Amino acid sequence: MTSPDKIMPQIDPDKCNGCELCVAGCPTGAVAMQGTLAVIARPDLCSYCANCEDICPTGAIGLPYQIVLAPQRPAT
Amino acid sequence: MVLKNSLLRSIPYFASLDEETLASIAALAVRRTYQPDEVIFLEGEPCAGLFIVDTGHVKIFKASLEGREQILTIISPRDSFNDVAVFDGGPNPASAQAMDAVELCVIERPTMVSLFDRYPKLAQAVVAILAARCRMLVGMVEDLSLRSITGRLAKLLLDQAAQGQDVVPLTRQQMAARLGTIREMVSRSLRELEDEGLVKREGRQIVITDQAALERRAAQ
Repeated sequence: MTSPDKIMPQIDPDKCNGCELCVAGCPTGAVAMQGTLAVIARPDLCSYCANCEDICPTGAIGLPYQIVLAPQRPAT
Repeated sequence: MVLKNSLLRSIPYFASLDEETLASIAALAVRRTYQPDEVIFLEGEPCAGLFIVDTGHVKIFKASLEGREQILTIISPRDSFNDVAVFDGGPNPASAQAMDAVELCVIERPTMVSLFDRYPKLAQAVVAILAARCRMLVGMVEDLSLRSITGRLAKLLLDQAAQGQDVVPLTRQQMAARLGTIREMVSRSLRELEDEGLVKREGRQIVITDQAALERRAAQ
């Protein structure tokens, strides 16, 4: 299974219009511009708050989620 | 890169073949690699052959002219795709795109056809695989026509969690493309399930906290 800490927001360069709203909306400074495109410049800072995904007007940003069952509680 | 017999044997078509035959098929297979998001083939193009995934994940999808996407299925390692076009000789019925780094091999249609001629036992595997594809599509019709979006999402989350190891993480956009809806509706349904205490978002994970209740939701 993909290690959760390796999962990062995906930015589709074909959809990114360089509006920089995601950069302004990122509370941790993880998103930055590289030329005219937004990139996750500091993955270590990303808190996975989904602000960038929600704010993107072109749907260029997506946050992948791993779906898991909650650990079973031991029988008492 | 050499195609391993063990990869071929994991595909139902080839499970009954001896090592020598597998080795001769492996020699004819073409190995290819794809970057994340790279298109493997498009709907309507001539069939290149049977594709067998070694590593990574491939989405099989239909797209509208407006760019809306319906994901039919996601292919995991040791599964094949484009079977239908191999069997009927027609064009690719859907498009295929790498979701992450993908390594696969392609066995050309004439090779597959000659194998079916030489090994009639393969026909049993063909029937089983096509029946499974048919069952999957019937299930999709049921989901799209009879289940609510929240019910479909509940079913998708359960299916994803049940697959465990090989499953690829999904964005809300990709969930929407699986469910025949838009991202905003997935967000709304996800919030609904969170409010009901059936799932919770924990960073990069969606954790199913009440499986039994989510299963009941999936039936709606």
